[in-house]
Amino acid sequence: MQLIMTLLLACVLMVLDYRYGYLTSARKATATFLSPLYYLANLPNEIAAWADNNIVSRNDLIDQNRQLKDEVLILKAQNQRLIGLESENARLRSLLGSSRSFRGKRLIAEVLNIDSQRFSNELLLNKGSADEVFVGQPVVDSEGVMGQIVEVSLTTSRMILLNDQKHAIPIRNDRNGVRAIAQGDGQLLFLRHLPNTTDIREGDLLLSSGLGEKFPDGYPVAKVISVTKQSALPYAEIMAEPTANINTANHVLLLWPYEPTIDAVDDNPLESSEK
Amino acid sequence: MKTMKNEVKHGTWIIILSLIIGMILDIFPLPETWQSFRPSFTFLIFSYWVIALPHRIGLLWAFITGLALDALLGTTLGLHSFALAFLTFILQLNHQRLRLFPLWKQALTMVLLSVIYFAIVLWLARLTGKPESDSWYWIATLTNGLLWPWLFVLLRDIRRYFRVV
Repeated sequence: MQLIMTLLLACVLMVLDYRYGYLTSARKATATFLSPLYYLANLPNEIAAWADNNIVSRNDLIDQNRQLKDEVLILKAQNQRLIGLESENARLRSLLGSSRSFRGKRLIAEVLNIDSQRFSNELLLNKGSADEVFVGQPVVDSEGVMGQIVEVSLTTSRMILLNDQKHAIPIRNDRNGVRAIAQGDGQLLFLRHLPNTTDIREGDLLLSSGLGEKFPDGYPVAKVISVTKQSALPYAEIMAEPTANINTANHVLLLWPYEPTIDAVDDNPLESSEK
Repeated sequence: MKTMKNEVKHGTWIIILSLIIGMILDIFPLPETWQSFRPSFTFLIFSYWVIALPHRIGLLWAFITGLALDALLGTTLGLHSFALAFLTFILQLNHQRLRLFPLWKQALTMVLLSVIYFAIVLWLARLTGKPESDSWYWIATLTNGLLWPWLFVLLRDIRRYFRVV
């Protein structure tokens, strides 16, 4: 009798959580309560990283410093062009009567090295609602879009990766602007419902189109790696590989794209998570 | 009477600590290739306490431990509660038989129980929209069996040392 009651209770919980999402606050509370466990399990990694950072020879540091300086110079040069383009773009857009913020708030988060991926492609980040992270927030790394936040606790958050089976992202082809939806299959992305006549080739770069109002427009998402067209099938079979370092990224960037803050945070757009 | 009460409290503390350690081991980062061999520590530790103290560790404990596991692993709330409660029921029915088994036979039984546990978890995970997993998923049932004798002896010694009854 007790067993049946317990099993029923578990079932009710599952239905409420999965089907209706009533339990988000309960989830958040439990996850916050248990987040010390995440940090404990991540501790050996932290120690290894600390040792890596602190036990380096001076020459290595000098080398690295020089490399980074070079990189900053190059990036700054590129950025100068972008600033010009951005203001021009904003002017043109204001002429057209549409406005969009390009530089919202952003924040660097660290990936906690936790194995909770047995059931899905998810990562745990060390930023939570204390840093105003919200559900549905886009996450990118230096190479492209990584995924979005699906669960937030006070100090941690859980993100779903682009290539998860439950994730899809609206994209457009960089070469000709063809729009599509890229869904994950666990490893790669495939483009849904594109007819055989669509002009998409191997090697095309796919950018986020911003149509879903989740991801900001123009971030690289994936590169097409194979296009199979069979006349027997109604749709072409197009596979693409995410450009982001989905399996190796240690730091990711959280974006606040659809927020009307254009210049307020411009002076200090990058708040580093590490002091 | 007073000492009795103290002992009960003392024991609870040990049980909770062992379960927390199990959970940490469950999410501890391992190399990709080893991941599917990871034993389900929390499940094994919990099973031990059910067999050792069936009068204390029952369905309520299973339910709460399962909820904690769900929150940690990001599965739908109630999923591991369901599986753990079901297994707790089986273990409670058979705890006396299991205690009398020699260790190797216990290990075999644990493999069988792990298969049931894994099947329930996989079934519920698929129902709640988690992706398909490959046949490597089942390999951990064997590692569960391999780990069981060591874990059993270790936890038995801990239980005797701290006199958890």
